[in-house]
Amino acid sequence: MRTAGARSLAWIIVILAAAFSTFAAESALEYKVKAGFIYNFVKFVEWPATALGASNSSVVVGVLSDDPAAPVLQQALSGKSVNGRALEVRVLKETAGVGDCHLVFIGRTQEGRVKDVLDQLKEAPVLTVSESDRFCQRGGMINLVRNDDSFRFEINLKAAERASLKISSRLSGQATIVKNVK
Amino acid sequence: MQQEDLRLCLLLFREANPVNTIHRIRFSKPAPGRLIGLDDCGRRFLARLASVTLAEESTAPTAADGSGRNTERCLLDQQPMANALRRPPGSAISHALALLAVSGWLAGASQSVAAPISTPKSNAVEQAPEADGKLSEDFTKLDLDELMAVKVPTVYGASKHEQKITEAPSAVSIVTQDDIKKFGYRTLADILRSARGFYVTSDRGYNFIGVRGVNRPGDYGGRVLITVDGHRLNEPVYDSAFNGNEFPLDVDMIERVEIIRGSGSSLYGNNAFFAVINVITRHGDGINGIEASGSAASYKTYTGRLTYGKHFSNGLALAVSGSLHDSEGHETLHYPEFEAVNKGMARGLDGEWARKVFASASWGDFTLEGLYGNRRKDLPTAAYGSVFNVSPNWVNDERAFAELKYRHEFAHDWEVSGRLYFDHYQYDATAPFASSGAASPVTFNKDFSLGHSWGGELQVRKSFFEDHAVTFGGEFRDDFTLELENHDLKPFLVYSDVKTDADNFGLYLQDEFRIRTNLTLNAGARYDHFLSFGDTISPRAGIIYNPWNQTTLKVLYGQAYRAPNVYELEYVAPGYAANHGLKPEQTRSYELILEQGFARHYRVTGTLHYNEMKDLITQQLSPSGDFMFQNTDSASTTGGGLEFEGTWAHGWRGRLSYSLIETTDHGTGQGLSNSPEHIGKFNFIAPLYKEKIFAGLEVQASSSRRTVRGGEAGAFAVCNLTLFSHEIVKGLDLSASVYNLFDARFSDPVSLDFAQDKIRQDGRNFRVKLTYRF
Repeated sequence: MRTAGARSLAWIIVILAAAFSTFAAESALEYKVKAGFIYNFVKFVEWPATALGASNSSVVVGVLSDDPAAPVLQQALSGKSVNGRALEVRVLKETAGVGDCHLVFIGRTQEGRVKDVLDQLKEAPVLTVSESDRFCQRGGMINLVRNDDSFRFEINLKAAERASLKISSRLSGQATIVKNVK
Repeated sequence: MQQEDLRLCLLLFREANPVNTIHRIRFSKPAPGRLIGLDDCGRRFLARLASVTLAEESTAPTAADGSGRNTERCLLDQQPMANALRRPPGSAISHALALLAVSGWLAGASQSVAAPISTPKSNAVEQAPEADGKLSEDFTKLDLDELMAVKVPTVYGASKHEQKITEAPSAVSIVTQDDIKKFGYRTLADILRSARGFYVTSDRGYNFIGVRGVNRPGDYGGRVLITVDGHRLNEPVYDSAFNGNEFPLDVDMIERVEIIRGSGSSLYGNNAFFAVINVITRHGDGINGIEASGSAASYKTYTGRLTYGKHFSNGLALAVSGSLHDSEGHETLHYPEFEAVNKGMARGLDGEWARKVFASASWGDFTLEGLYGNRRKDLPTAAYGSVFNVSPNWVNDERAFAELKYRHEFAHDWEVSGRLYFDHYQYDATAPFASSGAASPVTFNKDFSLGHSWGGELQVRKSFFEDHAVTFGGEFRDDFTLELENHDLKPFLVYSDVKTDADNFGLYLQDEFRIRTNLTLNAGARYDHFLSFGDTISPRAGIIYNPWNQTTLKVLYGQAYRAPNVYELEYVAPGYAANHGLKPEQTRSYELILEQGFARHYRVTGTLHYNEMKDLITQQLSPSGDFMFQNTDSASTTGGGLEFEGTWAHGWRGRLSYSLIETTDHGTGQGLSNSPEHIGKFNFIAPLYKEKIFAGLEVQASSSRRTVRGGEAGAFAVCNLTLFSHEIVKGLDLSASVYNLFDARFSDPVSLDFAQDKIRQDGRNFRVKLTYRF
């Protein structure tokens, strides 16, 4: 029974593996969902006119190159447009380029670079989005947090205000507003 | 998958799995008992030794007369197999395979619509929304409300680090705090009863968890590992996996429960035989204030809880909670087996009382956590040959631990975590037994055990070359006090007094190797060394493959074990001999899991498993006439399950599952006792008013189970309904539940320690509960 069972299972495995022989992109579901959030953030945040430039120029979303989220965000957001402006996902090798973006996403694998990014941006009109512990408390603007099996987000309104970004009530109304922040 | 493939698959399987025609017939096992020192046989033996004459016809007759039981065992040994026309062992697999094939079909069908995503250069905002299936992976079309409803569940316990369920090398189910509220769960047992393929039986003293059709009456449940925040909860004396009110954490303090099916010994070692159940507690930041909760329920049951939690601005998160539970239980319970005594009515012997305390404090990388639970339960069943309808007859379990944890992520992807703990377990019981003394017809017996342990674990995780994630860990445990004691009160007579200790250590290594972006190999092994029996190695390997979006195929193999516990190794009493030569029970598990998401809202899981178990520890009568635990039995379980899940906006969600299981005791050729062939589950939540009032409905159905004496516990379906209102007034949650709505009559099989073959379970009963947050 033992060997017979093992053998039959091996057969099932072989046959099923043969049946599933199509390859497709990895289902990085989490970051596809987060791309949806980022899309909505861009939709409901108003940048100062000087920061966005000409009416047909694109909104630049920066993500660090070491971040496994980068390829997923790039695929999910590139080519999309918000309020008539195209979205451009820029993969950054260094944190030095963050100032040229309109939105920077710092994934949790890049948590060690949060301070670095925030220090560089200071009060520049760049929306900072992360998914790391106490991001808003450390001066970040929007933090995606897990709530059971789904995601919620926290907003640090003070930080956004300092950067001259206007956050629509459609966004802040859905968020947890973080107080006692830098 | 083509039909031809399926047919070929079935043919190959049948060919490889010829029907076993020769079966020996043997009765499954006599069951061990906690009060085993009082087993009739032991008492008679003792009587001989002490030259005390035990009255042949005691004044209070116990139906489980010793001689009767032994005769019965002998008879069963020779009894021709009642159900000679057993179904061939392959039939369950082929059924389950058919189920999987169906999901395979569905997967194939969905692939044609959920084609690889191309991101067309179009204005997503202005574009009319397309049919769900077409661009189901484009979440930019969703608004924030919908995005927040998308579920991306994670599990910690499957690999000892946080990962997505689809990436875990197991079929995982998650039960959240929200489910606990909306379905009105009262105990961990209630939670497990809702899980696909699980069933929990009760003998009105303890609950026992059945997985993969294995829940032998008399075993204490050591084939499932229960952890709280990763801390082992199975106690060191009997290995019990507490899940009723003796589970030391109030269910209201549960953040989520991870039900991780399959062999987990490659990471967890002992007891992770069929499943690991990791309970994650609520922490300070989730509570944020004071919470008071109280409930009133049938059988004069009252509970109360007070909780405080806060995340302070300096980073300290604190949670403290205390609970009380008091129940009088059924006023009378009728057991026809004891018709001669008080017309078979046990009066006032079903009470239950429990207290629980939980505290945790985390600051930076450190967490200090403590848990204490104490439960006393009256036993109405006159188990272990005790005298019927005489009080007191109770069991008392006390479980506690304190643990310090550390976790830090260093630069360059190094993650280090560790834990250091102290563990306490104490059990004591009082039971009345027929006495030969002239002074009183009843003498009370005390049963007692104690386990104290300390131990630690250190784990390092590191990612290499982007495609390897390696987890390496070591664990040790020193059970420095282990005591088993049993004595009569009047006249004072000691039957058993065992004092011993034990220790073990283990080392484990696991690698998650991302071979391609959509193909991961998860392989690992754990080495354990036990003072009692020596070494054991538990390997596990799994392939996790995403052939296309929303589809995950997992092929898993694992070996797991359950070490003989101190009770099985050391228990000595007149009529009972120790067996220091016991080896661990072992299992090999083969699994195939297919997880398929559809159109964002739906998810289908199909599973197949085949487990072989050998060296199962069973109490036997040795040639010298003593009861002794021996590695005698072997068995196998084959089965499959299919589950549909749906989640919609505004809080609608539902789950429907079916499991088909066939077990075989290799000794008898029969199926195992207390093993249902079919299990069905249905759970549904409907928002009735504005996401404020919800109805939670569940149905749990099981086919009939054989009892240990060859009888039958009939098929049943139980339906529970809970109405839950969230923040109807600010800070107030109210709920009202009806359990066993249609008053189904059903019984659970129990061990040979009972005169009863099966024990009736509760009929329709109610609970109202109120929780207020300050």
